Amino acid sequence: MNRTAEESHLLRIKNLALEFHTERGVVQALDGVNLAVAKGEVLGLVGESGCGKTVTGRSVLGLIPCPPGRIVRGEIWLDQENLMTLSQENLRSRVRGSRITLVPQDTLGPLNPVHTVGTQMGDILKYKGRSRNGRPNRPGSDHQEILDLLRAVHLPDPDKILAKYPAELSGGQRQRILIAMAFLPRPELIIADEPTTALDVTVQAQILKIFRDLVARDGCSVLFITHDMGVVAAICDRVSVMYAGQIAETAPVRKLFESPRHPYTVKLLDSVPSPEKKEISQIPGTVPTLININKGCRFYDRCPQRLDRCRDHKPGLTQADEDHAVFCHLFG
Amino acid sequence: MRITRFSAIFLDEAMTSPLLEIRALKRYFPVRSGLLHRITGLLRAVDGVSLEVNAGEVIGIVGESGCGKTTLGKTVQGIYRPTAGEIFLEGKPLSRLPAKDLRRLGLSLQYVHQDPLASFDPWWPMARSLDEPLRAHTDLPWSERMERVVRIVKAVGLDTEHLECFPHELSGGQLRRLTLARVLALNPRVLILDEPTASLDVSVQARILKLLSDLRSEFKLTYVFISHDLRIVRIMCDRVAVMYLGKVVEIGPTEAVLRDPRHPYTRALLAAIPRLSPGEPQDENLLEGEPPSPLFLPQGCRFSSRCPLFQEGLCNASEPALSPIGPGHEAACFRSAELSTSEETVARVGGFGLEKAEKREGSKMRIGESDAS
Repeated sequence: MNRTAEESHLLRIKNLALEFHTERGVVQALDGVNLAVAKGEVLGLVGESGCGKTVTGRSVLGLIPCPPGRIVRGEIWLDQENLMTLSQENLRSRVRGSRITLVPQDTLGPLNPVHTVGTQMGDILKYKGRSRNGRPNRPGSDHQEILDLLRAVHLPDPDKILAKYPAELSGGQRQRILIAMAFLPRPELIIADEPTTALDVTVQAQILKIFRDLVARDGCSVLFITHDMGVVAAICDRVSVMYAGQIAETAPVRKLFESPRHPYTVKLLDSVPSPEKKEISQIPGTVPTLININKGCRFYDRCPQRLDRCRDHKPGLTQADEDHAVFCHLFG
Repeated sequence: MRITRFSAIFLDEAMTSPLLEIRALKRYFPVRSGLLHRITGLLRAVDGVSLEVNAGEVIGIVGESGCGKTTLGKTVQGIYRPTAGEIFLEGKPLSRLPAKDLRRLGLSLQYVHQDPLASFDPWWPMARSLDEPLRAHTDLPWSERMERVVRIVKAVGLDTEHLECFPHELSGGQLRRLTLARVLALNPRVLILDEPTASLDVSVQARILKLLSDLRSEFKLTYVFISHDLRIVRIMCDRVAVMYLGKVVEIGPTEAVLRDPRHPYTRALLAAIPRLSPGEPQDENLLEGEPPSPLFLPQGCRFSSRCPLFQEGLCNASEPALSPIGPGHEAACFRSAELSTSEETVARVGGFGLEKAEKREGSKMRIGESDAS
């Protein structure tokens, strides 16, 4: 990737390393993570639980609790601004909830149980969404905007919904509201952390469609965190596969599905059930604990194609193709 | 490694009467409200389900959350008392058995809970949790019970060291294995598995499914496999029953139901599965909205409020019953004849898997070449 292309990316995570200091030792949760999300792009971040997907998203928002967390090195750039140099105060007033928003996985926790949906959505515009993107500031325009958005997420009777409390709504309805809330301040970047994992497949399919439509409407960028390869195929433009705190492979979504390069990606795709498959394969071994992990490739113990140098040498970036990056010695 | 089906092994046994038979089973929950706590409504969680489960087969129960899958499983196992209907195990009606016989016979029918962490006592080490059912139901001395626990724990792919752990120290996959070990120690014949791979990663899920297949042949088990995921049902089950709001709307051999679904709800469930082929347009049979509350069922067919084939005067007049379509294949829809899958769709769905496998083969070869260099 050349210099200008890199600069044109909205979000750039460079060589991010993050540790958690626990009683049992230092957990190296992230180790040299590089990610870039272009304007208007949906980047999927996919991997098994514990691989560092959510932590990566939280780092961008500056929401890593410290202690026990500590960012050892790395930079996170949003457009021309280095988020790592901003104070929590600045992050809260200028970035979180306005330029970057989050769609969480849990739908009940993030909503305040004692306020109506309408109050909570109004607060977003009141505190976060003002004076951005040339938004008209007329009386009643906020309310109209909220209603439009609720219609866009296919909630029937938006007026009635606004008067309800979160506990009166179903999981699917709450997820629609959280998506509407994330789009409400017209953010530049949305971090969607497994937004469909807790939902039924029928509702998931609807939510993914709504998400696609809204992203196309607003032209914002999305970092879409998921563990489901099917969801990746449905919504992402490019995808990064994570394993044990490192990026294994980054490629446009079609390329990744048609010609996966990293042995982990190949294995992961083989273990996903699909309606077309009658059998699925397994990945031998288990995900390593990230305490005092070996210096070389983190997939070494489970890799069917490991080489001698994989044990002690960390694989560097290999450009398998112009837009297809692999971190594996097989290609280096 | 392959996950294969073992039904052929038990074929001769399957010829006799069904191992487990459920007849017109209903389970309603009263809804109380107001100052006097009066019953103001009935939640019809399971509303007339009939199933026959043959020895050695795996029958899948699928549907959205709230369709009554779990209630069905728990009622069959005896955790809930049925409101109406009858359950026969090895030809004996469970509700009419004397308590002593029921206790003995009930052991051969075991239910595996959906949430493994919640089904273990957090203060007990695994050895004690696994020993408990044996202590309650057998007269074996401690040493023999422990021997059996250790043997079963090894059979599910764990080690004796895991027996000293507390539930919070174990991973989701390990806890799953231990829930299986706990019921297997009682030598059951039928396992009701409630979402056995819920909240597991795909790689762990694949291993649990493999384990279930292995255990099935090793212990000659019959599974009632409750799942919301048709992809897993396709891999695991010989037959599948699709449930919607407490009723079975379609039932049949897995292959027949998934290739030629004759109920619009089954079709919609299939359409909603995310495909592993980016860029392919999403199927147009997507449903709008969410299932209605089981407290207020729609008139006539219970799927009529969401059905794309809804026909005024037909579908809201009476409720369709299951009617035969093919060998062992039944659907409860007035318009199921119109849903017959065209040759073209079969070719598309069937052909896609092959095409994909070839592509993957190619990429493996490329990796192999660079390996050699």
